[in-house]
Amino acid sequence: MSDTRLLPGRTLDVLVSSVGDAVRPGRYVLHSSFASALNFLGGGRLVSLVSPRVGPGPANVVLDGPLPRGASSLAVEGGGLGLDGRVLPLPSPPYRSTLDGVSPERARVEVNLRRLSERLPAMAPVESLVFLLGDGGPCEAGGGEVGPGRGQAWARAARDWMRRACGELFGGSLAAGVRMLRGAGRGLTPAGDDFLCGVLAALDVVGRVSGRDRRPARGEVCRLALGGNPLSNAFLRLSRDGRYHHRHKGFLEALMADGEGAALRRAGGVLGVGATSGADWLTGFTLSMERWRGSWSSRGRCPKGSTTIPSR
Amino acid sequence: MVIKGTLSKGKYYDSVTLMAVARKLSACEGVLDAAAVMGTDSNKAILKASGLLSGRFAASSDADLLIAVKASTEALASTAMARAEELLKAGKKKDAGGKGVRPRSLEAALESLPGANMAVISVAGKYAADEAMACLRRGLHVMIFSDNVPLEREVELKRFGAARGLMVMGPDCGTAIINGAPLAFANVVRRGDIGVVSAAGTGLQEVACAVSNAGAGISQALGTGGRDVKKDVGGIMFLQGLKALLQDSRTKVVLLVSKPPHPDVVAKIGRALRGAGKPVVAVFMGAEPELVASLGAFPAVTLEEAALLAAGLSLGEKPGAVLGGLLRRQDELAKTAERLAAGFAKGQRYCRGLFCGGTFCAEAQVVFRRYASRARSNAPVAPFLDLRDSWKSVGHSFVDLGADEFTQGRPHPMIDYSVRNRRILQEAADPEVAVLQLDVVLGHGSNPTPASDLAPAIRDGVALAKKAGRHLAVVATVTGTDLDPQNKAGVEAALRKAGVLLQPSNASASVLAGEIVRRLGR
Repeated sequence: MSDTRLLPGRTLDVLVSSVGDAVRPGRYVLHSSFASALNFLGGGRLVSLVSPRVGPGPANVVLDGPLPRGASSLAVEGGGLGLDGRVLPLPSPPYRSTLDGVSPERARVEVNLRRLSERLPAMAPVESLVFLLGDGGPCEAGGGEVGPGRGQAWARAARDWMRRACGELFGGSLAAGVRMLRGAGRGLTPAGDDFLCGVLAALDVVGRVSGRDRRPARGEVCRLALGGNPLSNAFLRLSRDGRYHHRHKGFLEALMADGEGAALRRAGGVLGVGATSGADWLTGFTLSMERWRGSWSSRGRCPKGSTTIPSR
Repeated sequence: MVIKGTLSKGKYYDSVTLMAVARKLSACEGVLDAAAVMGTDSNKAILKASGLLSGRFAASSDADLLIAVKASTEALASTAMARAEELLKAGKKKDAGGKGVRPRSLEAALESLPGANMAVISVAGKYAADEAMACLRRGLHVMIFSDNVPLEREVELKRFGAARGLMVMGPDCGTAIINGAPLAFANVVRRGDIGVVSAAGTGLQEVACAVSNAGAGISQALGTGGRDVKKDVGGIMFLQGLKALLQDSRTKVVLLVSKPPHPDVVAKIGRALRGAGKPVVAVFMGAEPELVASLGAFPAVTLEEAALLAAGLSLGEKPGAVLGGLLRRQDELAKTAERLAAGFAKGQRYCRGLFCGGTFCAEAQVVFRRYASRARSNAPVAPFLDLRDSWKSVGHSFVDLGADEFTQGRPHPMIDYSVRNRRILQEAADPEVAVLQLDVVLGHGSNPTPASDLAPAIRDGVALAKKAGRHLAVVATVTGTDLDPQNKAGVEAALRKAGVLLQPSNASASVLAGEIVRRLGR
């Protein structure tokens, strides 16, 4: 057991077990407080103090111990985390949130993506955006929506809005599609923002599989997606930079370089993020990979209707 | 029609809370629609399209929370808005971690509760063994709820505990009842003189409930975790628990529950039972009854049979009478199946079991063997019956929804029904499916509102099949007691109303499912 006595006379019962590679020096002020995460913002950047249940992420500081609920600010400097007069050493090296070590295999991505598209409608919560995946699945086969909110005007209007936004994104104006999705739907970081983070991840994977630099497209989507929700903005910027929470990273690595069973298992891990956040992210990712198949898939295999990534 | 809305500037609630608030508001009397969303332009456009846009929302920004309600009267809208406030406050309280003493270390916990002799450990698996060892060193018995503890650490902990006379329940021990206190996923049962040792979590819940519902009671119910009876651990805690119950003056009957233990462990149990001086009932699911009988215990094939035998012994009844009652019920189930079988469409022939409890999934497979030789599962009782893709059923399939592939990053299906509800619709859409078998587990830790969370999905599934010209039989059991917090009678009534063929036990539900498909296969 490590020594937890950091300052004379004060015993801390928390240790930092992981710090993300996007945690930068600076001062941060408490933004929001939840059961497993305290979010601090500073200069548009995010630092989240999280429990081991949430785990490593690019902006996460994972604490082995109770979260300091009284803390109103924190400082990151000199390899330490200053918190209400206490200093916690940050472990080194930090959690690496990028996909740099992966050698993507196009054929594997094709197979894994196909399986994911087939399975996701059954795996994801009904309240999520998963209905956008071909609008198939057993509930639609039955002729109606299922789950809470059935037959209600708000749910119907939200579905229509999302469908139209996707129509624009993949078949009309990219800018109009992103703007419609931005901030749309349920959730603290609304479903549309999670979906767009998935779109950005897809652009990252497309770039890796096709060998073409997709950073300009990622920058453009992110620019259009930024709004007035600082949490969403922070997540969008991290996605633009190809930085991922460990569950999303594990899924993307498995999709690109592992078997279909592993990819599905990892997708299951992503689905556990938030109420529907993980499912919305996976929907945005999967739909983008499918619709923009013309940009990464081998020629002759592109299904009818697939397109390439628009430049604007 | 009245629309009411509130705008909360810069207030943050997690997504789970916001969705729960919207769902609960929609269920309020007189409420036609409700939404709890962030005040972005997109959401305001959606609210406008759905007729929920309030004039108050004009000044909102992306970081503000909007709550909108459409109700039939002004009064009902106001009531719903007040309810929204309550729900959001409750959500904040939960986020803040609640009230009461919250010690931040083991030392502080022991100081706050002097005399404590047991610790329940529920932390990430990689930390659980260290915490358990710290507790054992302080002389505490431990119950390790966590899973993903390395096998070698489990052996180390159990040897350490056994040498000091301390119980190590788990890892992956989901339930226990100690001195009448239900721990983790556990039911509220009568106290009595039947002691249980179980290496199967929902198995323990099923027998404890059946004992209680039969009028007998539980002295202690000890869980060991499923790996305890395998070769590597060697039954260390199963045997320690058995010996403790044999010595316990308040325990008159001992009940053992497990999947088939390793032969070495079986031999050790046999030695421990020599000269036991108390009746012992054992159900080793899937093992030959002769094996159990050779140990000197009363053999049972199903969890219910084991529980009723133990209850009978406790209450002074003859085992033959208990078994006779079960046989008569099987005859009745066969008649019920005969009657139902006429209503299915051509091509309907398969049973699909969707289980929250792993033990129930195993028991259903064991029972179902009498009716069909090839029932597949993601947790098969025989390796050649492996369901290759857990997300897609093939033929007769029994799916343990508590398996890792379904629970990674999600609440257990005993708490969160969303995965199963989705799967119910998937199975109902399959033209070859005739029977769905489900389990519902009540008690502390389980879903607090099982009827309202499950019944709509069942109704939708049955309607989906009906629309396609088919009949879908839904067979289920509710594991629980009238003392459980969920109101067992109310849950059963709601499920019956949804068209469920309710059975008194998982084994009985499996028999009915098997009797139906046997007739469809003719």
